[in-house]
Amino acid sequence: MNILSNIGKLISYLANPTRFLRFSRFATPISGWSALVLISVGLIISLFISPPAVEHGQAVRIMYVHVPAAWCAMAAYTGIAIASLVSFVWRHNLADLVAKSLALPGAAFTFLALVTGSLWGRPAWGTWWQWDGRMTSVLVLLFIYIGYMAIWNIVSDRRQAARLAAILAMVGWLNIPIIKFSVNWWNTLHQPATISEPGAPGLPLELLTPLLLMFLGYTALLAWFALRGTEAELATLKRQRKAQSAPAKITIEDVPS
Amino acid sequence: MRVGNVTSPLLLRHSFDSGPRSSAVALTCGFQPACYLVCMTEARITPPNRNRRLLWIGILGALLVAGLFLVFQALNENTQFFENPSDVVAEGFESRSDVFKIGGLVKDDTVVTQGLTTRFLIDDFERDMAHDLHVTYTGALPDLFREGQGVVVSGRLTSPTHFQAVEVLAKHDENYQPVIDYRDGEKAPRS
Repeated sequence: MNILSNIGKLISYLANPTRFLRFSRFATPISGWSALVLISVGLIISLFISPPAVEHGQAVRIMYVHVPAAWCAMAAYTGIAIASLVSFVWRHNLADLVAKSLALPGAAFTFLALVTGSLWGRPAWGTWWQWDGRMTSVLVLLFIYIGYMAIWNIVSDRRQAARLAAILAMVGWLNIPIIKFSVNWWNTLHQPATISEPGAPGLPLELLTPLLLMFLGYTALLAWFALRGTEAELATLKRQRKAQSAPAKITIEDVPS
Repeated sequence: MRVGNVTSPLLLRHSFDSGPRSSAVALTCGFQPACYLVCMTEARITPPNRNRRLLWIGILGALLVAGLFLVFQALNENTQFFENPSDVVAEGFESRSDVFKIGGLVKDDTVVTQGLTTRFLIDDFERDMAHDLHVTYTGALPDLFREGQGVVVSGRLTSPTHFQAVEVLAKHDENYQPVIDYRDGEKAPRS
């Protein structure tokens, strides 16, 4: 309960754009640089230093770009859903902007997870694509992302777009536990989670290290996208407000001839 | 006040919107009993619109979860990527379609290769089999096809004990081993 109330306090603290900008002034470069360093080091270890795996050979390296992408796809969507709830119930305008700016990176991570998963499937399973529970539900996630972004682009009234998008985001969140547990609920081609609990066997340290580095790097990258996107959205909004409140200028095109 | 601004009932705009807190507005939303309940329960807690929205999300969310649960219950077998071999060999088995998939383990010491044709016995991942199930397949096998490994075969039953596969996929487990295993003190590649 204590953690929850602290998160609540943090959210209401950051809901103020000025305070958010004060926070993002140092949080954005921190996340950006740590993403760059972690992903660079992680890629070198993943692709060159870590050993191949017994069954999968060199193809095991696909895992290091695939698993973190899938994680970020689901984390970004969960972030959108939480921000949408905050925006919808508490009417924090900043939450809209956070949700909106998480959508494109989330969709990109979903796409990356699907492509790298397909690349994994060919050597490991002998197929590029199968309609099993995991793959289908992740594809559905990509479609939800596209629908979410489409709402923001099609609905011209900002407030209405925010509310419609928030409803879709909250309903669509039901897909996240389906993705997560699809491999446990149903027979799937995709294997179940390796790291189901802390200290679970199945991924020795040589293979765990690159995965963990990439995982942290991708997460920092996602945070950077979210912060940078929100800053940009705030700037756009500010410009629009300024333009609206400025005295109207009548140009020659406005005068009916 | 946007009482008159009832544009789309689908959006529940007027009930969610930051309109006046009187029940008269809530009653226009078409879900009178629920709104009335909300108006009664929210009493004088401020701000009431926020609590009403939370309650709506709670109710609709619970309904959605229940609906989804029922959908997956109804779909049940259709959500399975493959059948279990123990079910296929069990009495009274009827496949949903002529061509279907079976997923299991390639039984140890049963793989026989003749040119491009491969024959093997398929075992259940967990349960015991009532009797053996032979799989025949002609074509290239995935790299991870091994005895004792998971496999998903797609094809048709030619007899209760024989399955003619047209596609063989490998299904590996969630455990990965580095080629160089330092834990055993050995540095030679293991395969």
